[in-house]
Amino acid sequence: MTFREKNAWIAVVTTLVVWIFYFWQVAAAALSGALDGDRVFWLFVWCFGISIVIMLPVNIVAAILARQNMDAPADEREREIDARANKIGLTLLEWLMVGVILSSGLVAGYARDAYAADPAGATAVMLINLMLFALSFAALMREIIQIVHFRMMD
Amino acid sequence: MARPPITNQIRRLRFEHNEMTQQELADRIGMTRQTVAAIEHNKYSPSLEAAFRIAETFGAPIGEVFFWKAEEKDK
Repeated sequence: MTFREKNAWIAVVTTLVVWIFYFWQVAAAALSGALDGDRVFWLFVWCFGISIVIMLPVNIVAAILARQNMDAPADEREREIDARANKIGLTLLEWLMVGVILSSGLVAGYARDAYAADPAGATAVMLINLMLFALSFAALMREIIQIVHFRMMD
Repeated sequence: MARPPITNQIRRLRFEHNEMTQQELADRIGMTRQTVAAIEHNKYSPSLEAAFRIAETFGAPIGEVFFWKAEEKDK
């Protein structure tokens, strides 16, 4: 397994563990009418920090075990796999963003009912988190596509 | 993913060059061992530059290392 494939596995596992927890918490709060913008913000900061704290040392260890530099240039097959995954990931992200925009009316309607005190604020927090979900999901799919290609061409 | 209609003699050439390992070949052409393995097992078509580098490593013309087999694939 190349360092880049290990890197993709690390990203997938970290994303699944940390960001599923984050979105689970945000979704549960939003649906129970207890969404708090400050709490969501700090939860995001913590999850982002934990992702980096997990990924950085694990990637360094993976690079040492693979006897490769973390900044070693990708070879042509790795660049091709990266390009294919990026292309699919970007297309998926574009469609998900369209979905977020189309759902904004529903989100605003829900916020008016569940957050009568501050519907605009709740709408903003929910839409930002939907966009964050779209970004995370597209990034996760991109890494999974990379792994699939690495496995198929190994 | 369809296999490219190209075959090669890399395994034989490695054998004839003192059982050169995939890693040694990879180091000489600036690729990963996994990419060399993928080329050798016909799962990945190298670029023209990489194909020339591989042929140069073995001191052989490119036509003795890689073969086009589109007709076979069409059968």
